[in-house]
Amino acid sequence: MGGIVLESVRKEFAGGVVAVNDINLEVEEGEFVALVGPSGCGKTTTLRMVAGLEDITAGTVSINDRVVTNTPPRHRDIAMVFQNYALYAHMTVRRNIGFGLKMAGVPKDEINRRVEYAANVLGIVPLLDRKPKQLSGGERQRVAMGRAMVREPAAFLMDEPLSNLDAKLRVEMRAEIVNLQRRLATPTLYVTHDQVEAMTMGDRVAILRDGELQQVGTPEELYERPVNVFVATFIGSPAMNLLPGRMESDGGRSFLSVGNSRFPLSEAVLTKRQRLGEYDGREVLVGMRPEDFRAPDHGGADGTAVFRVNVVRAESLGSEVIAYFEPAGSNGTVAAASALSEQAAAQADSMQRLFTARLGRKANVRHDGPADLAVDHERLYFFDPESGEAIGEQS
Amino acid sequence: MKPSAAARTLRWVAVAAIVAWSVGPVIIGVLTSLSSEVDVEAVPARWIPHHVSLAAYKALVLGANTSLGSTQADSHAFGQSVLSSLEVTVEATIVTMIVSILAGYGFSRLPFRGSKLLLWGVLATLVLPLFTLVVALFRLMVQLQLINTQLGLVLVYLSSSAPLAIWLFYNYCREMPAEPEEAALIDGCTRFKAFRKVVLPQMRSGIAAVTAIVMLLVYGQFLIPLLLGSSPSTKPVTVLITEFVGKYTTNYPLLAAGGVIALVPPTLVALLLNRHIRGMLSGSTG
Repeated sequence: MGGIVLESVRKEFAGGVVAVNDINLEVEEGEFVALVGPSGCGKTTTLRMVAGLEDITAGTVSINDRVVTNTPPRHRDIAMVFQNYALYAHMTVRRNIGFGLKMAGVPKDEINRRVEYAANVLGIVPLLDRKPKQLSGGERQRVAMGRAMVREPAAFLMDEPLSNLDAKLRVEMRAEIVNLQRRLATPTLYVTHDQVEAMTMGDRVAILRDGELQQVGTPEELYERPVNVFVATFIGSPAMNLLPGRMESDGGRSFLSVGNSRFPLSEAVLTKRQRLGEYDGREVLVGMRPEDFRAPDHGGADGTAVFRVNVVRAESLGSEVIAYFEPAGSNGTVAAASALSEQAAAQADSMQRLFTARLGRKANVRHDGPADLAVDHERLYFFDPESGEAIGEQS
Repeated sequence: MKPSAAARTLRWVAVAAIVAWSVGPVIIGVLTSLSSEVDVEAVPARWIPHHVSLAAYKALVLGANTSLGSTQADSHAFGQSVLSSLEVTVEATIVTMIVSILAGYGFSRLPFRGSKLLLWGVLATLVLPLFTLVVALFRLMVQLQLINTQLGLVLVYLSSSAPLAIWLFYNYCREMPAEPEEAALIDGCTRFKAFRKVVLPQMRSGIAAVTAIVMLLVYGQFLIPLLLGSSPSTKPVTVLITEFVGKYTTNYPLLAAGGVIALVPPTLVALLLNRHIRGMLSGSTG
């Protein structure tokens, strides 16, 4: 089992600030793991601990089955790509790329051969004799990649390598990095604050918040089965809508009240989320992804929740319409939100002042008018309003 | 918005005054050095010499017997003092640079327990005027048998100019991105190798600027060499020139010529490194 393994890794800075708390993470051989979270969540610190640029307060880091917790960076057999590329300004591109090999005592011919090869792969052969100052952002990015790949290291570490590029180039480079990584099959830990980048690039994505790992999983798992409100709202764009709701039972059936709607929940949902039964007569936090809204079917099919909403603004993007709305009778929503735990309420408040729906381009919604929006019960997410944990995901 | 005519005029006057204040003495010095004693002593004063004379320069450089009155112009002593000025300046600058580059880098990048306190301690010595220490320094140098030696002067200059240089390098390193050297650490360098291969080249323009600043500081020293290094072998040109001031008469052209020659090395340094000095003083690390 090669790859990168973090076991109970903790980082406490002087003054008692805990930047990273008890992280367990494994990047398997050939795997691309994206470590994502809001700024200040400890993701870069985690990466720097793997690189050996930051001391580890507790726990162990292994690379390629070798514990490297106290090994200096130069003996860890890793390569790192920095956010600002960190090229050696006084060296040509050729020397930049070959520097690591030279330090390792690789013969000159071999260095040249490998530098040329990397430059070929990255399409930067004409730049080999230039200095970093003469390169564009994208070119510098490529040089930094070249410097990492010629070393043929046991692991790649990347710290937001695309965040200094413009949007178009970022999308191009995303694909290039992923292709390169697949080709080299080197385990890669990739730090980013951009969830889209994480979801599109990572074989698996690890979500970090306030130094704590929230969830690790494939992009699909994170999207479909977030373990808590944080993951649910962090993944997906626009973010998931959160509404306070209430579970009730009536004549043997379970009902969910949200806003001014009340509807029986389908059996399928209750079977899938068995713990929902424990919430009878209690508040729950209901999550709805903007892309799960649609126009209601005529006749009102079972297993579908229909909401009457006030559309405040509708933006047509050509391919789709983004509707911003408030549920009719939203006064009740605000009052109920105050009953939530502080954390969930703050989240619900800051992210969901207006709710969003992504609808098909033919959706019949108007500015400033009422509309009916439907969501399949199966597409509803449920969270505990106190803890923010998902309900019914675990057995 | 364009400044008003009055504001522009005022600015020109201010700039002209500053230029006159700093360049004026140099011009007067050059003119005096090219004058004959007759010109200099004429009443009313003649700012422009009637006869341009290179006699003073000849006396200083060649030791030529010129009509320079009663003042002795020993070209050998003058050459010796220029040489020792340059030697001590170069030696002190090299030592100061080695110490302060390492110290400034260390204080900014490799903090240890008490390092801030130590840094502030070193910087605090900046506020001590050197002349308050000369008596103590003199006794110390006598005891160490370093009086009238270049080594003694170099040590004193090192301790007086290093704090400023350390402070400049400390700030310079703090503004320098840390990632290139971190990349070097990952690329297989030890800390010192990363410093040598990546950090030092990155600091090039800072080093050039501080070199110039330290050289100019050391070269212009007067009181310290007057007290600690006034033997013929260590006496710098700044001290020697004052000997041209006689008790009853002073040979002004000779005095001025010595000053003009002494001005050449610092002027060259300033011109060569001007770009870097400006960058350093305006806080750029480029």
